Amino acid sequence: MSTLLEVSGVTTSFKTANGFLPAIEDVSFTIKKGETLGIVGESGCGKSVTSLSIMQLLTANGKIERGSIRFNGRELVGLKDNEMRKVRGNDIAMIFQEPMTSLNPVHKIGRQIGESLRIHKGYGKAQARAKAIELLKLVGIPRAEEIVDEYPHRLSGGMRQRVMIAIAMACNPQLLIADEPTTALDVTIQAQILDLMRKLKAELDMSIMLITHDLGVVAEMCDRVVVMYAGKVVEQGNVKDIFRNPSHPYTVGLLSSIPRLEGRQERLSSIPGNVPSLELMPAGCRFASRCPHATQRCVTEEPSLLPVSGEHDARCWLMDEKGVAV
Amino acid sequence: MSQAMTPPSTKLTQTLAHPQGKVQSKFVRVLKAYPLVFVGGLMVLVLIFVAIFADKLAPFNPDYQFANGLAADGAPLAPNHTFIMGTDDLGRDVYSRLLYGARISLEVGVFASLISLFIGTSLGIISGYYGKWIDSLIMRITDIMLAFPFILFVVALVAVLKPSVDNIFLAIGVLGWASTARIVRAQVLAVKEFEYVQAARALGSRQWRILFRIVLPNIMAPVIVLTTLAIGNNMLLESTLSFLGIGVQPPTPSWGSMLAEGQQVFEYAPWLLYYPGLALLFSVLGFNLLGDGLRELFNPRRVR
Amino acid sequence: MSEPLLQVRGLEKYFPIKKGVMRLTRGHVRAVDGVSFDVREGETFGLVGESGCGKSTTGRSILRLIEPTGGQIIFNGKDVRKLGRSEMRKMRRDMQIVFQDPYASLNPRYTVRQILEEPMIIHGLYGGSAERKKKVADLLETVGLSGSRMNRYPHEFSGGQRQRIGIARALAVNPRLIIADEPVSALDVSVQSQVLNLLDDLQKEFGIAYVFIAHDLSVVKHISDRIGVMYLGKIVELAPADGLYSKPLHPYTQALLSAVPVPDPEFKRERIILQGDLPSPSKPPTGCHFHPRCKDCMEICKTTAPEWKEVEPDRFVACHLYN
Repeated sequence: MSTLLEVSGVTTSFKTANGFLPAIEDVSFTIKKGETLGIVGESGCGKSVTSLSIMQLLTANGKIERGSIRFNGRELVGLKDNEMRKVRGNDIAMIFQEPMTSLNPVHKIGRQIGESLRIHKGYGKAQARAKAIELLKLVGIPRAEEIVDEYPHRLSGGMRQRVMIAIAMACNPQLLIADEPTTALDVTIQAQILDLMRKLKAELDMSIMLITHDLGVVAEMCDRVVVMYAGKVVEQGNVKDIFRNPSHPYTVGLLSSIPRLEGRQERLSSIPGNVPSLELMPAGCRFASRCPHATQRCVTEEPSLLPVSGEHDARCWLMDEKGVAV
Repeated sequence: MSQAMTPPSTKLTQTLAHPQGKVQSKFVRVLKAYPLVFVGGLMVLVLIFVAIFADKLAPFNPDYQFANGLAADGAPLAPNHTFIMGTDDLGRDVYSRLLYGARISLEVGVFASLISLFIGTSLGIISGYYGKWIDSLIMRITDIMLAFPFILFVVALVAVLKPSVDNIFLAIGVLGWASTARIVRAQVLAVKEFEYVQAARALGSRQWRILFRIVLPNIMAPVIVLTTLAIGNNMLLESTLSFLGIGVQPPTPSWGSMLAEGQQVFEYAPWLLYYPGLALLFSVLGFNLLGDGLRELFNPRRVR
Repeated sequence: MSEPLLQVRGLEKYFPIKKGVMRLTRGHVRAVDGVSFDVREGETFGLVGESGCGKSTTGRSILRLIEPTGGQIIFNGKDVRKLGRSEMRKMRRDMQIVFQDPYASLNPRYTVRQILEEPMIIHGLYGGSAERKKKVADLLETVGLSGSRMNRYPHEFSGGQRQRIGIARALAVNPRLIIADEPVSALDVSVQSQVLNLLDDLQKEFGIAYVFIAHDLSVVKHISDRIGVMYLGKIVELAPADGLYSKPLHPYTQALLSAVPVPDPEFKRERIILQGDLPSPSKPPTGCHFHPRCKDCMEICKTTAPEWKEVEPDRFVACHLYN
């Protein structure tokens, strides 16, 4: 499989009262053609900033300070705004968490789907409308011919997320970035949407970058996983390795703190403490203050991503001393 | 796996916590982020100081008509060593009158705003918290108040009551509560839905306790901002009324009446307009800067 | 077995839909439509369902934070709906609530100490100020926070810590029942498990019963002894937690369970994907409310509402398949 997106060494900072502080630091990963990559972590870990950096949709107080983002071999960092606009929606499309607010309430659904076709592909009005109906059918919306002339408020949350996906699919993007696409939805509707995403990926041969906090969703959807903590990638590897052999203590803690449906757990395991704030980032490993295995070395020196096996890496000194009892 | 991970030793945690940014006092941080609050605040303080100590600061009696206060042809004197802002057409010291005028302006501005604040907040809370028919009633009255041209309303009321300082602020205050009531009502409606109000009910709090101890403190920020801005506006309104001749009556000095008197002779004595005009500008600007600054300061997304 | 602590019988909450200039009532949203269940002393009763199913309205109706329009709520032998104002205030000592949003549920202008003293002052507990202060410190320690932080404001705490403060506030009056309305759904997984463990510990220590309302089935399964599954204002199935998960009876429960993503990439199962969306509770379908989305729909389901029946000991279901 060839590489579609290559993110390397990206640091994105935001202006705060105490100057520019990095929200993500030295983030690197790749997405191959036809693959689903999961980016997982808790709130504030930088997973959304990562996707906004790729799309260059950062707010005015944020900027990419270092690193490179190559899409199909082409560098996106430093691209002029009008060049980047051609990439957005056309090559890389994005769907967001909140389907209630990401559709414009004053325009008909058909127009919102057709918009990117008219911008990027030069479609005429009638042509765009026809394609919009086709896309609505593709994402499984019943009565597509009627819905195309409706306003968004007539649709439920699940239906709106389908419309968002239809908009994203309009120009046959090679990469779909889905930022918590099902978090706001009920579990039965989530199942519908995930099913749809899987189907579309196979039909349209695209790659998906799925940002989520839900490890269940990751296990079901992803080929490979990047685990983020406090702005850094702490572990990455293919999904089976991550779930069978979690190697960073954070990943271990995360996996063991989810309540399971099957079996009976008397007590949940939990990670003590909280994520350090941007202002108070420790010099060493960022997880050290919550880690059961932390040593003096972890406090003073930050580990790099160390190999666990094959393509499985973890940012932890434990990997450096293979064989030491965990 | 079924056991909580053991927390690291406290010694370790202590070594971990070393902040990158330097720690500043809250005062310095607020000052840096919102310099306007301090500029506006300072201007307002100056105004208050002048108003309180007008009798100590003024070189002369503001109403005294100096024999040497007029030129040989009867024209007012331009600013000079004795009368640093000149004299008016009756030979009175403009500087002294200006200082005493600050008292009247501030008095009207503050008291009128406090009256509006009290009426507006009470009605707004009742309207927002109790809802139903009383809400509809109060809001319709508010609509009517807002639909009338405010200045005409005040002119009419002052005319009925007889122009005096007390009646001016009374009229402005009693008629100016409508926008406060609206804002308070909207705030109450929003705060009422917060779960901490529900929690207070679940704990068995009485209604008045919820209203005064929980709802009221949480809606005060925008109300204070609004009131600050209103003080500036009401000072302007007093000047307008005095300028129109139905405000403060002569010989009491007020900036508006000074402007009205100066207007007749401004072609050869322009300083009679400059100084009261600048004083008004300074005061209204001060209150507006302070109000805008406070608005920023109370913004929940402010820097902490 | 002794009398249950809380008996809910045919609880109803209809919200009127008002339309037109005259604000005439043109129908009702049946948010809660005849819900019945018991909560025993010291147990956790889970109430699970998707958004709009009425689970939160049920919780708040029990406390009369929302005034129910029908049914009975018997708490400790007394009909809560018949209590007068002052009796109701006293009753609130025994029944407390923990909210979902740890940001909206604490008054931002009060210190933690003030927040926790409030219930003591209202109910005249623990005499003087020194005694109350000591109790506040105790409460904070109980929920795993340091008593030395009592003079801080809520915004100085993280989401998980705020939720602990919310729990401490509920504990301040020594309640026998706590309604926990989505208490962990705003929290990250690692923090969520801390709070779930805390709730568990408190139950063991003080014997408090919980009505635990949530949309996350794994969480509800973990914490509950018995679970009621709600759909469009009704409980469709009620069963002990383990039984519900190992052998769900109602087709809706089956679909709900199969939709939960399992954090195991090698886990394989048959997934039932429900078609369509939740119908509006103002115009619920005829017969069984679930029939338009049900994979096992029969003719009778379209016309007749199924009976609420105990099909096995301690297992209730409303479905024609079991008639």
